[in-house]
Parts: sequence; C-alpha cells; structure tokens
Amino acid sequence: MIYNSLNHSAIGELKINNRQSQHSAMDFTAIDSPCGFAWVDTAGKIISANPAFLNLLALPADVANKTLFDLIAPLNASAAGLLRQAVAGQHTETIKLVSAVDNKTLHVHVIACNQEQRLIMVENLSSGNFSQSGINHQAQNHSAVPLASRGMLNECIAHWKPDESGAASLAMIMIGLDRFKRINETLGHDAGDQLLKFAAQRLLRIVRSDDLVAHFAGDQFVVLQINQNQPVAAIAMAERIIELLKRPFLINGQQANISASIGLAILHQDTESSDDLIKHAELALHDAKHNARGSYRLYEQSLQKNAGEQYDLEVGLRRALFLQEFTLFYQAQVRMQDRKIVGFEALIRWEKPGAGIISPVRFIPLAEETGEIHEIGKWVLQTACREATAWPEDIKIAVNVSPVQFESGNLKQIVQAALSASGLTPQRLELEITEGLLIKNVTNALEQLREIQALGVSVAMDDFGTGYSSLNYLSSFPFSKIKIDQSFVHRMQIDKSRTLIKAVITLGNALGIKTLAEGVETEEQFDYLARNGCMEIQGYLISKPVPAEQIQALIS
Amino acid sequence: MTQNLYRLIYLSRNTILGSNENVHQEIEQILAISRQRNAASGITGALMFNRECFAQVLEGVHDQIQETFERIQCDPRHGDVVVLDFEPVDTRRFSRWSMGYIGYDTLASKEFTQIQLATGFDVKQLSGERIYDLLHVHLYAAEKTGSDLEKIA
Repeated sequence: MIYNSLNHSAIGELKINNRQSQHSAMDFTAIDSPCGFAWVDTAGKIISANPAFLNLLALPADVANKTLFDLIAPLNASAAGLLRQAVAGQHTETIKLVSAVDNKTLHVHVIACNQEQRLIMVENLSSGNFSQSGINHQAQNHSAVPLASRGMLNECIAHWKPDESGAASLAMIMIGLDRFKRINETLGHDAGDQLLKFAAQRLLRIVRSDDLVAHFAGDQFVVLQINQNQPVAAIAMAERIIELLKRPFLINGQQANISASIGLAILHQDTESSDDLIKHAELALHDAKHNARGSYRLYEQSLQKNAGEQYDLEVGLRRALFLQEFTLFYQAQVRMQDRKIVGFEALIRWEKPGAGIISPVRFIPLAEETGEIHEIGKWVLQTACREATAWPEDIKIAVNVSPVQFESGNLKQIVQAALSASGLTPQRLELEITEGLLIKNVTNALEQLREIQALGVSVAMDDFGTGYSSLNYLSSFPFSKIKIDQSFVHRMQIDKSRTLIKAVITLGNALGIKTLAEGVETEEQFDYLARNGCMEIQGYLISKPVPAEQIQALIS
Repeated sequence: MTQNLYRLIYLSRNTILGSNENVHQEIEQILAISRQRNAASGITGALMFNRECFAQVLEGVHDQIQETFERIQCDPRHGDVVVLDFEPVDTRRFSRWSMGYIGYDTLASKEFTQIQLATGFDVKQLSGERIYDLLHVHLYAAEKTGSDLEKIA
C-alpha cells in the first residue's frame, strides 16, 4: 500500500538530518511527502513532525512538547489507547484509526528503532496516497498488508541504536523474488499483484513483532531485524523465508511457483556505516541471484571489490571502441585433405591500459548485458571485412555474431554496410552463430538469417555440442558449416567424446553440411578427425590466432 | 472467479517431532482451530495423516481457499508442500465436514502409505484424484462405524 512513498530526492533530503540525535520541527519540512512522519519519546511527547503528519491527524501547527495520545483522543479514543501501549512497548506495530473528525481511515505505524524514541508514520488509506508514485500499479491491492515504506526504512536505519546489552545488531535482509517478471507475463499483472500481496503476508506472518517489513522495489522486500544476535538471526530468517516463498501460491484458480534470493548485510559485520546497509544488502542479493537463485548471501568486503572491478570494466568497455583498444586476431581454418588455409576466424582482443589483455569470456557477456555489443559487433564486422580484402579471393573470413545483435533487427543492414564499405565479395563472409540464438524467438532469428543469406553470406553453427544441440536447429536452416566445439577435441582420449565427434561428423555428412573441428593441437587428433571424415580444422596444430600483419606470411 | 467453488488437494511433509502423544496433541490442535476457522469461512474438507505426511482436501469459494491455504503455508508444523490439484468443481463432496480426519492408525492411512511407497515417495507421481477418493471413501465408511473420526473429533 505504501510502496515507494518517497521519491529518491526526498530520501536524500531526509538523510541530511539523520545524524542529529535530537529532531527539530524542521527535520521533516523538506519532505514533500503525503506520508506523515513524527518522532515521539516513549511517553508520547512529540519531538518533531512534518506537515503531512499534522494534516492527516487534523492537528494544530504547534504540537511541540504536546503528547500525541492527548491530541489523538478526540479523533478516536480507543486508537489513542492502543497507540499509548505501542509507543511504550518495544515492538513495531500498526494501528488502524478511523477519524471521528473527517471519517478518514488512517494507518499509524509505530517503529521502535531505538530506546528513547519512536518513529510514527501515518498514511491515509482512504486516498491511496502511496500508490500514486508507485513503481507499478501493484500498490492499491495491498491495502490490507501493513508494510513499511522505503522512507520509513531509511528513518529507522538512520536512528537505530544498539540495545543496552550491546550484543545485538541491525540486520537487513533484502529479498528478491526470482522470475517474478515471468509471473506478470504469463499469469497477468493482476496475478503478479496478488502474488506480491501474499508474499508480503507470508513475511509478516513469520517475522518477529519488532522486525520491520518493507516493500523496497517492484519485486523486492526488506526485513529489518532491529535488535537480534547476528548473523545467526538473519541467516535463520533468510533460510526460513527462502523455504516459505518456495511453497506454491494459489492465484486466480492456478498454482504459481516462485523462489526468493536473499542478500544480507549486518551493521558492524563488514558494514561499518548504516548508510551502506542498503547498498551492501543489494550487492549481496545481486551476488546470490547471480550464483544460485533461491539462495542467500551474506555481504562481505570482497563483494564490494568485485562490484568495483565490474564497474571499472563496464566503464572501460564503453570507452574501448573510441580509444581503439580493440584489435582483431585471426585464426586459420584449413582443409584436411591438403592442409590448405581456406579461411580465418576473426577473434576480438581487448587490451585495456593498466589491466592488460581482458579475455572475451569476461567482457563479451558484459557487453551483451549493457548493449555495447551492438557497436562492438558492428566494428568487428567492418574491420574483418576490410582486412580480409587484402587476402586472396579464395580465403573466407568468419565473424562471430552474438544473439543480442539480432535483437535490434537491423543486423542485415549492418552486414550489408560492412560488405559495401570494404568491397568484400559477400560469398567470402561467413557468420558464426551459436545455438543460443535459436532458443529464443526462433522464427524471427531464422527470418533474419535467411535475409542475410540472401546477400550471399554463409552462416555456420558454432560451438556445436555444448548447448542443446538439437537436430531441429540443424534442419531448420541451411547452415554452411557445423563447428565441433574444442572441448570435445581436447577430450578425445575419452571414448564418449570420440563417439560424439563421430556422430556430429556423420550427421553433417548426412545433412550435406561441412564439419570443422576446433582446438586441434596434435597430429593424432588430426588423423582421427581425418579418418572419420571431418573436413576442416582449426587449432594450434596449424596456427594460433595472429594479428592481421602476419597473415601474408601464413598464406604463402 | 472469486465466488466459484474450488477444491484443493495438497500433500506436505510432517515436521512435528516427539512422541506419539505430542504429535497427537498437535494434530488435535490443528483440527480444532481449522474446524473453527473453516466453519466461519465456508470451507469443508478432510485431513489425512500417516506420521510421514499430511494429505488435505479443501473445498470452498476460491478466495477463501486461497486465504486458508496461505495460513496453512506459514504453519511451521509441515514443509515441502506440493499442490496436487487446484480446480473448479460443481459440488462439494465433503460438505459434512469442516475438517474430517483420518488418523495414522487407520486403514485409510495405511493405504495412503502404500500409495506413497508404490510411487517411491515421488509426489509428482501421486494423483490428486486418488488421494481425494481415498479420503472420501474412508470418511464415509468411518462415519458409518463411527470409528476413525471419533478418535479425534
């Protein structure tokens, strides 16, 4: 109900005053929030309040040093009594209040974030204030679930103090629902809304009464454990939450299954400042999702370091093209019968100043994620075509194309432009694609492949045997070549690997598709492949990848 | 959708530890509370227990089943919940029981164990229909003889 009640700038402004232990009435005035905030002491005396607080509870402007319960009693006497108990207690509670003055229904949240003070947050259920700025339309449907807002979460973290024993700590449990998008897509947004509501309810059912449960973002929740022994309590809670959210939900007459990944950050356990608690929990969540969905991860400093490196890489990657840090290396492909070079595969190389050579295994996935792959892919095509024009006419050039490059829908134009700019004969260009391309949106991918093929360009299936290796893929398009992945060639001493290689070669022959084995390093491997009818090879036995300048020497 | 009659059949693994008596007490408590709640929300159904697992049928209006199931899901006394069946039905077959019960020392429960053994405890192979029929047949039989139900009810 109160999702995303404060925008980011409001949170930022809130933080300005967070460091003060005493609150002046000015504390909250900067927040243009429909959500009412106030700090009171345990006797209920108001220390500070924002305008929305006064407005929602129909209070006069001058409330400083007055007692909250006395002010609220005329609106609703029983709610005032409940509020008195809640403020005196150590727990986080939510009280529903129907105002006798204007009939508004309000939710009053009492949060005990330290010994001396309570944060009171008021929201108007009648107007649905908190839905307006929401990330999605999910907000309205949750009105029965008393969750904290992000603003409340921030307030609570900033004012937290350890209890008298000093043994306990503040722990943030950040929960991300895995595959939630898919629920929205397959069952509809209404089902997604319901699922969020039920997930929140499950959380509220299992947390302790002094824990705070907040809706953090679309499919992310936070449980803040205020004073418990850590990391024991947070880990136990994380395991319980993962177990609980894995259980099926019943939605719109159907069963829906999701899982949750969790990031944990604990104050004074690798997180020194409360300002970093959210950031660190997010990093840990990111790592949990990345490594194994449905697991939890406790923040540690190495995560920050990794995130820093990743960030450097991302920034570096954006500049790399402009700074001309990429070059192409070429690896020879030879015909087995006479060991003649018939083509070269273009391989990208990134030399990052200060960091040395970065492996494509590291930066290509990142480029695919950031979208940089479109520009990089275009550059590779242009460069490879241009450099290949210097070679004899009967030598082909093979260029790898990422599935992401097909997403823009203009790959054909890019190929065409590279061909005409360089003057390369289309028949000399071969694109290498992977099976991954044909898993998602196969119709569209095939259509683009056919268009590209119509230009005269051939298409090879790369890394065959590592993915799904469906025969279906091979028959769905007239591929010019199947490339047998090097991992099979390297394991050739194993019977199983040999059987697989033989099967792929036989398959290729049966379908009239050429086969090329990658990673050939020994004469023994060469002989075996030759005996079994493989047509081309590529590997260190012939040549390692070389810069363009060394190609002439190789050919002659 | 919300006012339509649905039935839910699910299985879960018992996590109550301790002596027979302790388990018995917990089940009694589960039944007492669920009968009270179910009566209030128009839910009928049956629960079967064989020490290892629970099998439960709930019948009622969609939203009430949904709400009841969410409460059940958060109960720490069981785990590994598997929904065998959730679908609209025309009529209730357990309309006499807010929560009929077939305990672990009964014939039906033994049959339930047999089914589980036969499927190697692979819940995916268990048919909701079979559990449903088992509960139904035995509840009616028990009602006639007054045996199983009375033990707990």
